[in-house]
Amino acid sequence: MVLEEIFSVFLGIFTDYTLRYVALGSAILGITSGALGCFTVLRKQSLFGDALSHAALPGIGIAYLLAGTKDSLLLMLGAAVFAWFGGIVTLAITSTTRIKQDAALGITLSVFFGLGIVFLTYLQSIGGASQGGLDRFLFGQAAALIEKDVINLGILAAGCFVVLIIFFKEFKIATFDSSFGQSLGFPTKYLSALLTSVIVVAVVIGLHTVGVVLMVAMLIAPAAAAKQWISSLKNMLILSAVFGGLSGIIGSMISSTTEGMSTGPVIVITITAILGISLVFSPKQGFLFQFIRRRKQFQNNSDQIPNISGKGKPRGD
Amino acid sequence: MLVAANCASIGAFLVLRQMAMMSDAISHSVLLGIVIAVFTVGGRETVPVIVGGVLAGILTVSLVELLYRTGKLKQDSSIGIVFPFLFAIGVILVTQAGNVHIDAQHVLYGSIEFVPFDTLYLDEINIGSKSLWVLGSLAIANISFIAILYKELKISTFDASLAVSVGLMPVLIHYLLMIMVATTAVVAFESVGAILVIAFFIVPAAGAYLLTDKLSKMILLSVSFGIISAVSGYLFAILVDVSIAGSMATMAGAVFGLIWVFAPNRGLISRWRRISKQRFDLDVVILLTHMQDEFKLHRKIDSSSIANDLGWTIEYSNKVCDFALNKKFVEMGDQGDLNLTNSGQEKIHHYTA
Repeated sequence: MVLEEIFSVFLGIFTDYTLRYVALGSAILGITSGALGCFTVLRKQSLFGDALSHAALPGIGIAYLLAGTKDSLLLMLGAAVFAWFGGIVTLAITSTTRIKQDAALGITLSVFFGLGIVFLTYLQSIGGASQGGLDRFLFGQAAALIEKDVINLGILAAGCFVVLIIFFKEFKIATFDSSFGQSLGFPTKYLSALLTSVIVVAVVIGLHTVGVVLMVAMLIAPAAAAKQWISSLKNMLILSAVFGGLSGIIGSMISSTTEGMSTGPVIVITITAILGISLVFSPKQGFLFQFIRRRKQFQNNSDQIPNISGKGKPRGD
Repeated sequence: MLVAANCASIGAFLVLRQMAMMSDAISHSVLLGIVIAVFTVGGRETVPVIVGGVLAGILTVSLVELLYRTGKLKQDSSIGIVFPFLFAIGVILVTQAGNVHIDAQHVLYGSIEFVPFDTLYLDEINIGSKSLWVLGSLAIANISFIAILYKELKISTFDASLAVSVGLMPVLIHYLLMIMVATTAVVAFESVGAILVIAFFIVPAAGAYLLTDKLSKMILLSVSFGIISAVSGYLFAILVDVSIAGSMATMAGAVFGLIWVFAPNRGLISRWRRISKQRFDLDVVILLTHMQDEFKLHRKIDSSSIANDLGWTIEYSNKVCDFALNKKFVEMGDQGDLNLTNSGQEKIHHYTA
C-alpha cells in the first residue's frame, strides 16, 4: 500500500506536468547550491550565503519598480546585483573597521532586508495586487515554477558549472591556502570575487524555489553532509551536488502529496535529514561507528593490559 | 522605541561576543516555539507564547552547540543548518494549521495580523496597551539583568578564562544571555518581525562599537541609536506609507552608515585621512633618503629630477618638497638645488632606526 503510493508519486515526475518542473527546478537548485556550498562551508563563510540571499530582496523590488514587469530574468538580475552589493558591503565593513564578520553579516542581512521590505510595501501601496508575485521570493514558490523559469534556472546553473569546472584548481587553492595561491601568482582577490559571484547566482536560483530565508540551508547542509563521507574536494563536490539534487526531488515529491504544503521548507527538512543520517552513519566519522570503534579499542586495551604485564619479556635479557 | 532600546542594550554584548548570527538563528527559530505554544494552549495568551519562544531559542542554542562540540561542523555551519531547519518546521506547521490563520509572510516583517497574542494593528508602538506593558516589563527585566550581572557579563565577555578562574560560570551567563535574547526576540516579534529584530540587535550596537571603547558607553550609545532609528523609521514609514519595521531597519542601516563614514577615529573618512597622511609622511622620508643617496654620488637635485627618479608627478614632487622645505628638512641652495639639513638627517634616522 505504502509502496504503491510512493511509486505513484514517483511516477508523477514523468506524468504530472507541474510536478515535473517543480522537481526539476528544485533539483537544479539542489545540485548547484550543493556543489557551490562546499566552498562556503570550507571557507568558513557559511552564513555569507544567508546574508547574500537577504540582501537580494531590495534588488527584486527595484527591478520591478524600474521595469514594471514580473519577467523572472530581470528580477533575477536585480537580485543578483544587490546580493553582490551586499557581499561587497560586508567585506568592506570587516576590512575597514574592527567589526567582526558575524556582526557585519548581521548588519547587511537585516538592513538590506529592511530596505527590501520597504520597497515591497511601497509597491504594494502604489501598485495594488500586481505585486503579489513578488512576495513569493520570501519563501520561494517552487510550485509556481513553469517551463520558462526552469529553462532560465537551468541556463544559470550550467553557467555556474562551466565556471566551476574551468576554475576548479584555482578555487581549490584559494579555498585551502590562499597565501600559497598568492605566492604562485594566482590573483586570489579576483578569484574570491568570482567565487562570490557564482554563489550569488546559486542564491538567485534559490530565491525562486526555497526563498530568501531557507536558502542558507541549501548551501550548507548538502556540503556539510558530504563532508562527513569524503575528504577529497572533487568527490565532496559531486556527492554534495547529488545530496542537494536528491533532496530537491524528494522534497518536491513529498510536498506534492499534501495539499498546500510549501515546497521550500520540505526540501530543507529533507536535506537536514540527509545531514542527520550522514552524521550518524558515515563509516569514517559517524557517531555510530565512532562509538563502536571506541568500544572495540577499549576492549582491546583491557585485553592487552594483562598481556603486557604477564607475558611480556623482561627487558635487558 | 521600547523594542529598539531592549534589543540594542543586549546587542552590545552579542557584537562583542561575536555571536551576532546567533541572534539571527534565535529570532528565526522562536517562530517554531510560538507556533507550538499557540497550538498547545489553543489561545493567544502572552505567557505561553513567550515561554514557547524562549524554549525554542534555548533549543536552537543547545543544538548549535551540540553540533559544534562534536567537531564535525564549524560553528557558523551549525548555525546555518539548525535555524533553517527549525524555521522550516515552523513554516510547515503554520501553513498546515487550519484553525489558526497565520500568514507565513508576516512572520518575517512582523505584521500584527500574525501576532498570536495581540489584536492591535501595527500602530501599537504608539497606542499599544497590552504590548506596551509587555515591552515595558521586558525593558525593566533587561535593564536589571544587565545592571545586576554587569560585572559578570563584562568579565565573561572579554576574558572567559578569567571568569572561570574567579568562579563566575561563564556558561551559565552565556545561557542567561541567550534566554534574554530569546525573550526579547519573541516580544519584539510582534512589532518588527523575525529578521528585523536582528537589525535592532546588531546594527546599533555595531555603530556604537565604532565610537567608543567603554562598554557602559557603548550600551548607552547603542540604545540611543536604536531609539533614533526607531523614531525616524516610524516617521518615514508614515510619510511614504511603507512597512514600519522595514523602514526602521533601513534607518538603522542609515545611522550605521553615517557612523561608519564619519566616526572620529574609526570612520572611513578619518581612516582615509590617516592613511594618506601616513603615506605622505613616508614619501617625505623617501625623498630625504633619496637625497642622501644622491649626495653620496655627488649629484645635484631639484624637484623635477626627484619627480623623474621617484616616479612621482611634478605637482606631487613639488608638494612634498614644499612640505620638506617648510619643516626645514631640506634647504634651497644657490642654483635652486636642494640640500639636506640636520633635522632632515634626524628624520631619516628616526624612521630607519
